Amino acid sequence: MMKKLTTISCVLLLLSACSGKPQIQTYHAKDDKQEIETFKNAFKDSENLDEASGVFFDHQLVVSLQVKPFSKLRKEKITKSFEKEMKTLFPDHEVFVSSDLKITWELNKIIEKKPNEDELKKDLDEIQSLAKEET
Amino acid sequence: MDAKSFQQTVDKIAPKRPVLKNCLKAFLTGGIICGIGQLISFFYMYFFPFTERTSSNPTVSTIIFITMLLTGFGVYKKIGQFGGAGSAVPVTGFGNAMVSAAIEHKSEGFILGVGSNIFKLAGSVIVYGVFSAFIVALIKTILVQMGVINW
Repeated sequence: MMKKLTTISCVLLLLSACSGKPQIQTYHAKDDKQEIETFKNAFKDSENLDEASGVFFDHQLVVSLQVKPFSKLRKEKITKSFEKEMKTLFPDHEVFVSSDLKITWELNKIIEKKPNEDELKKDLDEIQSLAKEET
Repeated sequence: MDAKSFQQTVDKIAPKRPVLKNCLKAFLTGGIICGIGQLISFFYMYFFPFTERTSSNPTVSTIIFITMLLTGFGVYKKIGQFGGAGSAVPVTGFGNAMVSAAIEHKSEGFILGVGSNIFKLAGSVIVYGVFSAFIVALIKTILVQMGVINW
């Protein structure tokens, strides 16, 4: 009986963890509520994502995505489709989308720290140069 | 006794290989090695400016270095006896093959012994690795030139 219960709860936990909606985190240097809302709506119903983070700063938008394990094979395609969507949603922003774990970690650090503008610019430049590194 | 009946006798007498058990052991060993590799890769990503893509290079070198040490200390031999192919197929097998060949031929001197034999086993990995990489790159170049795929 106990064993059965444990198995069922394990399966339920696994399923609930897998089918959850993506966690969305944002940070806006000027705290534009409307832009944050548009960003959140774009990712809200996505079934392929575990996590989406975005940082807005001076007509610059840096987005990092974490694709669900079962969709990892289509990671590049999913990233590209979201990049396209972001570019149409925020035409006056310079959009940068990445699905790299390191970029997600760095962006989450920024979102937690909420730095001032000078630091933010430095951090975002660093992140973009990291992503361009080929070696 | 001809070759066929000899083989039949051998098959009858020889103990049966526990294929499933060996597969499981290899799966576990290979999985643990790859898990350690993933942890090392996370370490490089967290503490150094490496991304998911670039962290694989230092990870591979670290894993090979650890295997070389373990081979020198005689620990990898035991892992190999337990895990079989599971310990040889990951990149750790490469480090093991190099160092074990070097140890084996140490008595013949450093130039003609170690120097000429260190790549005795691992040499084939390098030769066929470079060769297959060349073929794949060639195919990809042709496909890109034809406009079928992008870089």
